[in-house]
Amino acid sequence: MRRRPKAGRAVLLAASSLVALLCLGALLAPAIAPHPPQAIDLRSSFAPPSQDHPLGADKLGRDLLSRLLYGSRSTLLAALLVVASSTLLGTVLGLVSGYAGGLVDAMLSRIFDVLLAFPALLLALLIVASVGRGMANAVIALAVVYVPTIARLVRSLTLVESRLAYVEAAQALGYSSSRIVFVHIAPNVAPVVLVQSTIDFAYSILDLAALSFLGLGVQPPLADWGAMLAEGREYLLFAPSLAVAPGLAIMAAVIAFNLLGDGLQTRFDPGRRGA
Amino acid sequence: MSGLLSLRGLRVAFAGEGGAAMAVRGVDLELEGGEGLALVGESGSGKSATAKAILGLHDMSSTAVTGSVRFEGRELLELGEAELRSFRGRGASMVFQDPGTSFNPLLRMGEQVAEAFRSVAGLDRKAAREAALGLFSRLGIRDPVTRYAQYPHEFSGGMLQRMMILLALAGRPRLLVADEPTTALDVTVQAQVLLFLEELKEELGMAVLLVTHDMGIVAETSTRIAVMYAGRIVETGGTAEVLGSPAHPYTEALLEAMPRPGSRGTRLATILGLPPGVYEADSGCPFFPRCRHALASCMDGLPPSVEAGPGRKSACFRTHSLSLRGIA
Amino acid sequence: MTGGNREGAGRPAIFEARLLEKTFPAGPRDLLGRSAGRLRAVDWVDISVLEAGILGLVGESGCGKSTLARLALRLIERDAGSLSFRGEDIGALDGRGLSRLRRSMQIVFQNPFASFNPRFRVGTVLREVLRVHRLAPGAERERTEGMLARVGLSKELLERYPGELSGGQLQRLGFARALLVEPAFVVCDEPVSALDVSVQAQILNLVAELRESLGIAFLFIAHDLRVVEHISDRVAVMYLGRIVESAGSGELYLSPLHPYTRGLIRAIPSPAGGSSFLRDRASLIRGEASRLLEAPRGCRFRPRCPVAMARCGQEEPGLTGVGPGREVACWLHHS
Ligand SMILES: Nc1ncnc2c1ncn2[C@@H]1O[C@H](COP(=O)(O)OP(=O)(O)OP(=O)(O)O)[C@@H](O)[C@H]1O
Ligand SMILES: Nc1ncnc2c1ncn2[C@@H]1O[C@H](COP(=O)(O)OP(=O)(O)OP(=O)(O)O)[C@@H](O)[C@H]1O
Ligand SMILES: [Mg+2]
Ligand SMILES: [Mg+2]
Repeated sequence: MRRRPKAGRAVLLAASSLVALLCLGALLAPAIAPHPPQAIDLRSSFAPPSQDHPLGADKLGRDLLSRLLYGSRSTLLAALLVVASSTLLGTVLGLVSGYAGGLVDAMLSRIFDVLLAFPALLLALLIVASVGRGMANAVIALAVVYVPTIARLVRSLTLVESRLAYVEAAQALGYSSSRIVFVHIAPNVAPVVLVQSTIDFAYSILDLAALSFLGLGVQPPLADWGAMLAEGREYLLFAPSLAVAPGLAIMAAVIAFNLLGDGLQTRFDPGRRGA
Repeated sequence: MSGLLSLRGLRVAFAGEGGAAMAVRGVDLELEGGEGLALVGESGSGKSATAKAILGLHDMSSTAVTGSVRFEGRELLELGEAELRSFRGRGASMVFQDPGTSFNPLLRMGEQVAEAFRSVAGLDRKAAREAALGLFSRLGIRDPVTRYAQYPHEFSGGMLQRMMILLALAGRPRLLVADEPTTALDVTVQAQVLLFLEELKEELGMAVLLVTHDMGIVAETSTRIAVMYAGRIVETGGTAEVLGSPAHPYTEALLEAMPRPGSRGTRLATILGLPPGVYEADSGCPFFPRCRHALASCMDGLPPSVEAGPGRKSACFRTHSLSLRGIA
Repeated sequence: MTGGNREGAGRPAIFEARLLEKTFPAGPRDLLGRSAGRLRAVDWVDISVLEAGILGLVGESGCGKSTLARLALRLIERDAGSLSFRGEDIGALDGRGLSRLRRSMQIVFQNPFASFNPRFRVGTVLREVLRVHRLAPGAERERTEGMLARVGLSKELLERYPGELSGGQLQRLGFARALLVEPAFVVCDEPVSALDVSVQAQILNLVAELRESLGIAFLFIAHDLRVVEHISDRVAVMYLGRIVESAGSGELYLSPLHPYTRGLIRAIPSPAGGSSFLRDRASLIRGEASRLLEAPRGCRFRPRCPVAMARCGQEEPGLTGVGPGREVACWLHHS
């Protein structure tokens, strides 16, 4: 067993602190935000950073920091919903597809192939365009889009796992297929799924922001990083922080979750199985 | 002694998370030119670690190799990497257990063989190709020109292993170290490979150090045997003498545990327990907890290796007071 | 020799396979990834194991031993042939019947390191078997501890993970797991191949002891002829998917009939030095078995056979009786 390099652990630590910070900000938004996110105050329109508005205010005089903090709530919650539902569904489909094989596997695999043939965001756009805009639909659309990636990953892991002798031993002992799949195989593929879903979390923040940016996700006046970025874009030259701040927030969140995924991956190095 | 190879107090320790893994704990071994010596022992006893130390194949950044490895009077442990490289292949060569993994699966077989001849025997491109084709014919491969262009997976296991052996011999080494060369092969194929090795040994007059855990192979191929247990040689001597009347209780136990003609319906003798782990410090005879003949006094320090007959040695306190059973 | 009538004449068969056949897709693939050829992994195999008997099965790597084991347990489905357990046709059992069959027939695998889920402790592994089959409710602890004792393991191991056990301990755990359902017939697919001689001896003794005390019948697969000779009453020799000879264990080694069996026995390196193949080079079988992608013309051993005749290239010999309890598939012995 090789020892993990020190650098790897430092990255994992930094990434998880950043993620923790983001979550804390979202949770404590009502307590720490200086203003309500929707409070319009036309006197502070485009106010520069000050004691009262630490990051300044937007066109309607809404406090930028408060909106960022509240925006993180909808962004993180939506991303969580996307990842949780796609991971759950993808894992189950992948396990079934990989273990059952045959016709079931062939059919599911074709469906995944078709879904994966479209660029993720384009597919999400198509879905939202056909079922209607709004946060809930954006979440559903992205969840659907993310399912095939997870399912394919889980399927291939399941294929490998089900060739191991312990699975055959379980079959010989008369264990039911559902027991073998969910009690024996699932926990052994879980670490890789966890890594993938962390990385998906980063992507879904980005994709959700993109949908909101295009006006298909979170609707005004609700605070959301993507929507804020879209609004701020109009005043990019005049008040750059209105676009830059949500942009940076998105970037930080994406990088943090990506690094966390990478860090977890090194941790769950396959060589450690059975230890 | 002016032998070909002489190991003195050889120790190999791997740096690991649980401290130093002491795989080889003071091995003394002599090998004359042209001699066949078998190194036997259970899995994990340090056979491969010893074999690799002879060729200087351990990763020096994580492994401590100490003691002395003299080859034709030259101390190998003091050689630099460049000198070692020129020693390997010409002085001594090694063949490993799994023939499949020794070749690059993506390169044509003929090119890999020719490449080996170029680097070891210093042949030019054309001569190397000739040599490779010659080797194919030597192995009885029909249509060598076609086979030259094939990939490793198109060759059978026995063929690959014989090819490995011939490649190892390209530089005409005085010593061939073969680490379980037939363990991955079927008996009928194993027999062919062992026979092949035997013929080459006679033809080239080289010494062979054969690592194995099969007493049958020892008896068939080697004039002398060294039995290894937990990083040490516990018994050495002529093969027939050692197998016929072992001097060390571990050798006796190994022989009795083997199923043999006529053992059907009888209980085999087993060796209870496990050998000491690589992290365990020495206390008394390492075989003590598993030994049928042990006395309380066997825990008083390490048993020294003592004469046990002409050309024989045994590392047991009771060597001279025991008479052990061997196989006829 | 202990055990008296080891050939077991008159004992009924516990397990029988007739004309068992299994092919796998193999060979070059077409554009759609389908293989044109079929590898004949098990090709018209007949075996029968007697109550409380041990049938040894030897053969070289890839000759179809594991495939036969899987077919017997119905872990994979056969292409043709019939299977019966104590006279009942088990070839057509559905899910329910299969689950019942699993309590009568068990298997122990070759690689003890891979046959346990690394995430479950030993105790959990054993208790799971009892739960699934609703055995010994309320007395699970006693049953698992009793079983560990029976295979010679200490109950301290219950809290350990498989990764913390040695190969021999794991293989004994494999037996413990299989025996919990109290099977009458156990298939052992090379249970000692991954083990050192000292540990191998323990497992062989365990198998012999289980047969003596519990009357369990075994199909014991190995590629080591000495091991099979030691443990079995009868031995079947397999070559490229087919049984080429079967006989009582003692007889087979004393007077092998099939040229392949003879070559196999000659090739065993002997520690006693007596029958050295290195000194008697002529008796060695040359070459290696290649995979059979289509039904062979003539005998499948012919390419390597030192005594092949004209007839061997035309017709494949079937397994025929040549004396009491002896069968061989070779034209030399067909009158
Ligand atoms: N790189 C390593 N780091 C730590 N321990 C090691 C390393 N390589 C080998 N060992 C340990 O050293 C001991 C001796 O290993 P070695 O490979 O020499 O055994 P062996 O006698 O060749 O066994 P086998 O018959 O299984 O090949 C073993 O306990 C092994 O686990
Ligand atoms: N699922 C499969 N798909 C395709 N080919 C297979 C499959 N299982 C086995 N085979 C092939 O069938 C043949 C017989 O395999 P099997 O595992 O039964 O041999 P074996 O006698 O058990 O060999 P070993 O001694 O190496 O375990 C081999 O050529 C193998 O490659
Ligand atoms: Mg080794
Ligand atoms: Mg097998």
